[in-house]
Amino acid sequence: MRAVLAYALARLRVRRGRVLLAAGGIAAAAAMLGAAVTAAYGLGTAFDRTAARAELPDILATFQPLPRSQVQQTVSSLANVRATSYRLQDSRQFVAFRGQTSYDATVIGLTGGGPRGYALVGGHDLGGPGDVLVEQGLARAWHLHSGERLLLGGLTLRIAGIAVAPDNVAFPLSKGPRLWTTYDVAAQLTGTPRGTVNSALVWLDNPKLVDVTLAQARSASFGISGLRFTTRAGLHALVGQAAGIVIALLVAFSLVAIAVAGTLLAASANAEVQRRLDALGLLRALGASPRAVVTAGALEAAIVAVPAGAIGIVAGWLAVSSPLNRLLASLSELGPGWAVAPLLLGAWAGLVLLVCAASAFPAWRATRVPAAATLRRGDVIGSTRRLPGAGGPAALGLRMAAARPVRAVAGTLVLGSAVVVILLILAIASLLLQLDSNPVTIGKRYQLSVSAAPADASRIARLPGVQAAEPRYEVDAADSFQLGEPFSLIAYPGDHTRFEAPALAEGHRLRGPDEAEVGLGLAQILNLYPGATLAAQLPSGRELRFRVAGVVRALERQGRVVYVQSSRLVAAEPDAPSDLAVLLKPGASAGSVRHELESAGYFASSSGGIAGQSVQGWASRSSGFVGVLVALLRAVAVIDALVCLYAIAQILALTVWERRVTLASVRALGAGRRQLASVLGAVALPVVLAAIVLGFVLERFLVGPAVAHLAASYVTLSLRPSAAAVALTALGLCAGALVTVLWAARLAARGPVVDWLREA
Amino acid sequence: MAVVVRARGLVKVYGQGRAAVRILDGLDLDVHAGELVAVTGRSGSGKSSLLNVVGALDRVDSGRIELCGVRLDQASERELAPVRRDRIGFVFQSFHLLPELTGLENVLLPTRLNGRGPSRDRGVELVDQLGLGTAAQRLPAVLSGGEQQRLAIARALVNEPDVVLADEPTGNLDAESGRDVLELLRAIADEGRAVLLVTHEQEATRRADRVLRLEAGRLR
Repeated sequence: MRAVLAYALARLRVRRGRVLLAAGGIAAAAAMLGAAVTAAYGLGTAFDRTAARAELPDILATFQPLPRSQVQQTVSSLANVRATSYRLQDSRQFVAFRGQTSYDATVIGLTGGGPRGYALVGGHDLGGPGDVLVEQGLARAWHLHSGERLLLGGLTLRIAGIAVAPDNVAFPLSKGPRLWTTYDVAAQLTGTPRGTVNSALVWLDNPKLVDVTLAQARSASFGISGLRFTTRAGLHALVGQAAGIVIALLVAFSLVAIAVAGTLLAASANAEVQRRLDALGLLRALGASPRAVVTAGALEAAIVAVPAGAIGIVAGWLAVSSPLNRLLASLSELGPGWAVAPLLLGAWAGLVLLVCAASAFPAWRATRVPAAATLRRGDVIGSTRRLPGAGGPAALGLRMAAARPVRAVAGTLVLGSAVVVILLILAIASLLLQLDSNPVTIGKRYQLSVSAAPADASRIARLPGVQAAEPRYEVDAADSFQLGEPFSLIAYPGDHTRFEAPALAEGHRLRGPDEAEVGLGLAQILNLYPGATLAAQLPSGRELRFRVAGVVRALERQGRVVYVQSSRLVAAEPDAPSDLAVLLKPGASAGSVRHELESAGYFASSSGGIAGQSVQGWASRSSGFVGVLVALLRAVAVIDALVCLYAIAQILALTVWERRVTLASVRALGAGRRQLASVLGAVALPVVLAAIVLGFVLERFLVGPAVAHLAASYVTLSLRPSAAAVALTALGLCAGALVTVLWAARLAARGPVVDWLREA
Repeated sequence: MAVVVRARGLVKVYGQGRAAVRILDGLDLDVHAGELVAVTGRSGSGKSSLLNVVGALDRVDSGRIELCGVRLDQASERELAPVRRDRIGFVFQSFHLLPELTGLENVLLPTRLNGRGPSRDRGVELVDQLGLGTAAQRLPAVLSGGEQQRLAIARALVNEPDVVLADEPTGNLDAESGRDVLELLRAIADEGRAVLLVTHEQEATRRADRVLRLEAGRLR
């Protein structure tokens, strides 16, 4: 055994080029694995990790300012309460730092006692009345550091630290930044009487009973005006409005990438052992036991996989960490940091095991056949079938490929998997851009949203280029029976389908004021179906009940939307926020209509895609967010392209090695590098073409729909690759294949022709 | 007759330092058109190395070698490929027919490598001349050694080379097939081509115009 192991080590020392090639492939696949694991874990757990570190409350109650003692009395009557904290907060505060200003800052005054509800990521906590904590988004956008001073309202405060709270997206995605001060400072800035608060944070002993506590709180809070409850799930949904679908897509994509990386690694390791089967045969001929041969195969693979896998995983982690952290930071969430280390360690261990197993298996199979058969591996095995073709270099290459059908199929599968990932990346990127900017993608038919009173609708409808204008009400509501499940109630005076019409999944469109169309996301959570009753708790505490007429595939708010007619909503909630949805005439220019509106004294904005409909209205500020996403996707695409190149290179390198006698013969007959390239190109071409077709078919009919369903079961997303994406991928792959073929031809042309001929 | 191969002071060394072996040590050789030259010698004396060097498959460490006036010792790999293709015909002991190609396709392969398209007529003519009509349509795996070697000779001739280099061409054949092959090589020389033959066999040397013995890295 010792001699066999020593031989394995010696092979590694001598065949450095080949070892480096194998290590490169493992490193590339490991990089993909590391990137996918980091992204999947980071995105999938970001809210919960940040919420846990920030000690986000189970219930956030906001109300009109009241004496703290009165609120405390109400809260103390509730069961299941572990801790409470009271605050005074106000938006529309002025904040300035070195020429940068915002008039929409939210200042949060903290009273003593209780958990804080934010996580410090820099500096230290509030120490005195002159201190202020700034949210991480503001610190990044304005380049703020601990110890610097900024102007808040009329006060100059010292930045004590930088904090993150995942109860809203970060500035500048949110309209205004959040700043935490002492209670006294907040009271001074807002001019509120001392001792009053307007929000309570409640932590529960048993968060699973949040519905019971909310029902109790409702009944115990009679007389508290403007009361609104938001649960931790509600806060998650609020942040999800901004990027839920995006994160779901990325997580689903990462899971696919992990599976593909596993396939690549197994195929790569297997191919590496195929290459040294003759050596294994020799070991057997010299008397090595089958166990020693298998162990040597596994050990040789492990020696390469351990460092290469570690380097690859770290490289993958590094490649996505920065864009991932930026993406999460824009959502007020923390990057995975070292928390992902155990997972990466596990992925690395799994990778090494996979490589060893995939290497040991062909070695084990080699021990099941006579040693002479293993020794003969190489050029002697050719196709026993006659294939059509003229018999030139290209035909020779095709026949060489046909002589190894299993390898051709395995190569096609590996490359096809990589094509699937590339097409998926392009489809996701395309979908994100559409969701971000194209309102039609999410079922909206109106083009402009105008800040105006409902009464102005008829006047605006008469403007040139405008086909129709109607008030669009939107309020945050919750299910009366499950108060922890928030949704948006969207209402139009008449037929909402003129202005927005997500596809109907079941039932029918609403026909009267007592009916509602429910988004599939909400229907899945609340088990709603046509004919069921939806009880909506409005911000005022009033309740409206609707009969579910239909279920729609709404993309907004992750499908947590309900469409109703506005009459009952306006009656129950006279101050319900609204704007005007403006539908343009066919062919009318949005720009000229917007100009008309501005001339008439109105402010209009695009109705926007998912980015545009967020309650924070961050459409105009989302370009950085999309940019970060694009960077993240590009990082994965680059890694995947490298894997593609490696897969082709490995097939060709293996072919050159196995068919070295044939190639030497062809060289002896006068073939130069160009002819060798023709031979090898014909070996690679069928695999590449088949991989493109396979990748397209798999992405189009299996993986794309599966990822779309995994990301959002409440809506039909199209992850169909565009013709341009398919063409780009095919061209890229062919170009990569060409480069690799030229490299392999160079390899074959430089090989020792006499030595190779002698091996026949 | 014109000199096709001219070698002067060829040195080929295998190994390094104290393990170095000068397998060719100042070797001189001239081969003329229409001449069949047989090179004999003990195993490991450097016969195949000489053939590889003359056939532009291997490099010398020093010395000068010309093939039809082309300096092989100074040419790049890019320049050597067309020399091998158009000027040299190689016949190997183990035939080196490509297992994926039929007999005729193997014969025609060198013509397809030069990009000028196959001289199918010439290939078919050679195949017929060598009595390989049936074998030409089959894959090498199902052919006899004699048929394979005759196909290899046809392949060596298809581009009308100036010199045919044969490395133990009868080594893997029975006596009758070996005789056929040697007759073929003799006929090739008689047609005006130079033939350099490496062999162990008396039968082969009897048919040669000259017989040279390779000893201590030189021809005697």
